[in-house]
Amino acid sequence: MGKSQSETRPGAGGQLLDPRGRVEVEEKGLAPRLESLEGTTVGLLDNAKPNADRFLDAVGEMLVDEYGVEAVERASKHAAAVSGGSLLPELRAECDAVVNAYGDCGSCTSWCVHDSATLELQGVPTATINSDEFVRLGQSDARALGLPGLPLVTVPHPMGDVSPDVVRSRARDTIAEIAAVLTTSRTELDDEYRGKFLGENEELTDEDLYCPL
Amino acid sequence: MSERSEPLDVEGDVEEVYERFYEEEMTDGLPIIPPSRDRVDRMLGATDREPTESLGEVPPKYGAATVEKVAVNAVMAGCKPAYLPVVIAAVEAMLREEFNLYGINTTTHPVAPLLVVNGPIVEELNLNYGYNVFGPGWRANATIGRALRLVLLNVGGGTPGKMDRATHGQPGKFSFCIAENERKTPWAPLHVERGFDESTSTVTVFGTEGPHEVNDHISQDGGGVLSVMADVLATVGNNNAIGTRGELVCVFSPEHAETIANDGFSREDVRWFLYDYARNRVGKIRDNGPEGLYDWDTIDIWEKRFHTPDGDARLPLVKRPEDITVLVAGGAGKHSMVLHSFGETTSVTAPIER
Repeated sequence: MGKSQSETRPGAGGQLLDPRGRVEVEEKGLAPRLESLEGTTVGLLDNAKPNADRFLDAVGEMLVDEYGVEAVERASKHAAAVSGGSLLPELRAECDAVVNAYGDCGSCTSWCVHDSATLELQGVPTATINSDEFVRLGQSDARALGLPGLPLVTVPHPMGDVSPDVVRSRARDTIAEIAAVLTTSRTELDDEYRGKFLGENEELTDEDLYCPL
Repeated sequence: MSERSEPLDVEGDVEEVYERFYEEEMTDGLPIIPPSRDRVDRMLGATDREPTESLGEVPPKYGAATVEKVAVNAVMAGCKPAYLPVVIAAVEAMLREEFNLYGINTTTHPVAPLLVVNGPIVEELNLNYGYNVFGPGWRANATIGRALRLVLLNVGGGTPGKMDRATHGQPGKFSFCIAENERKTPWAPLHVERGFDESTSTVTVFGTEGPHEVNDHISQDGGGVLSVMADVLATVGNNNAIGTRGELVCVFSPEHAETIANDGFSREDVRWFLYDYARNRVGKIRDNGPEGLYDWDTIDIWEKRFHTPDGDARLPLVKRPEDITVLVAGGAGKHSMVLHSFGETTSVTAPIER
């Protein structure tokens, strides 16, 4: 018999090169948090997803009625799959903290996290709302932007087609975490959130391919 | 300035290499040409640009797209070195802010960057602009489009199911590259329309869905063909119906283009016709979701377009007629194609430097 098959098959042609892009992520810190929400102005960033407005209405009311927030300032993106653009410097100028709602799909999660990262890096403590189905994407995005510990507050997926009552009860269920995210020290937050949805060295895995709904 | 590409600890014959690249998620699932140093150097010979020059960072992982990384992926895709300048220009175009690659490479929407090549390079590279223009069979179309996808996967980290969260994706995400049939267009070619000299070669990137068929074997005049096309376009389940920056790409077959042009329609007339007639009834859009999507008090008049009490008012799919791209491609036959947009993206035309 002649040569084994592997000997006759063509080789790869020498040293192979890595096709993957070099990613240089410089880890950055979260914005300093507020001592208390008492007397502050909180921005409510609405990314135009259905029910984001209702969710933020409820959050705003609770922050004012129960946490002593003095005023809430609404900012509305004209579409979810785009950057917050000029709304972000406006929020930074007028608000002590921001609640950003919400990521429940691919591009809206990514841009939502991108907006929050921008605000955090400009010194604005931000609570980012993400549906649980997409939160691992959100954490991947946050990691790629150098803020692996970006606090992502989860709500059940989906959010868009639930009744106003359910939206309100989800705001109720998350309000304490939202308040904590804006007032807990950034070291503690970083500890809590950096490995919360994806382990420190964990990448998204194939299980994320299958929608559990 | 970035460094050169890292060597990989992968050895063996082509099948072993394919298996390892597949396992480590560096392919689109199809076999690859192993990106050896020699092959990459031959590829780089087709450009004067420095291998270490970065064209920018590709979202969502923001990997650096150096000229060499683009060449590595072009080798894997099966490109000839002469194709590299097209891939480089397409990457540069995609990275422009108005294209919104961050949204496009992560979204649940079935969007893929569609490349349209114009100018003398089309004949030089034997790019297909005729029969089966969106289909298989032409190496230049297949591998240029594929190289771009491999850049999105490998350099950008847009891995399906991980950071690329397309609910279904679409076949154009393997490769999506056509050329315009400049010989058969009765109008100016796309690159001339966009202000480039006829002798310049360009690539235009659009963020679109897959192509949708417009069959009209009956019409004898422009208004007839265009009415059918308008009907195919005007549906509510696409992002043009609700997006704020949607465009439309209308790819006319040479026969349809001839019928329309013989009837005296200029490109501008075609755009206006589709702008006027490819419209959705406001009430239908409201009933199908978008009402409540916007905060009516803070957005510009275009986003307020649903905010009329007249449910029978009809809304165009694009903000302006010039957001409709009119192209000619394909072989003989009375079929054309239309492509709806991601809705939050602006197409970009870049010159191909050689």
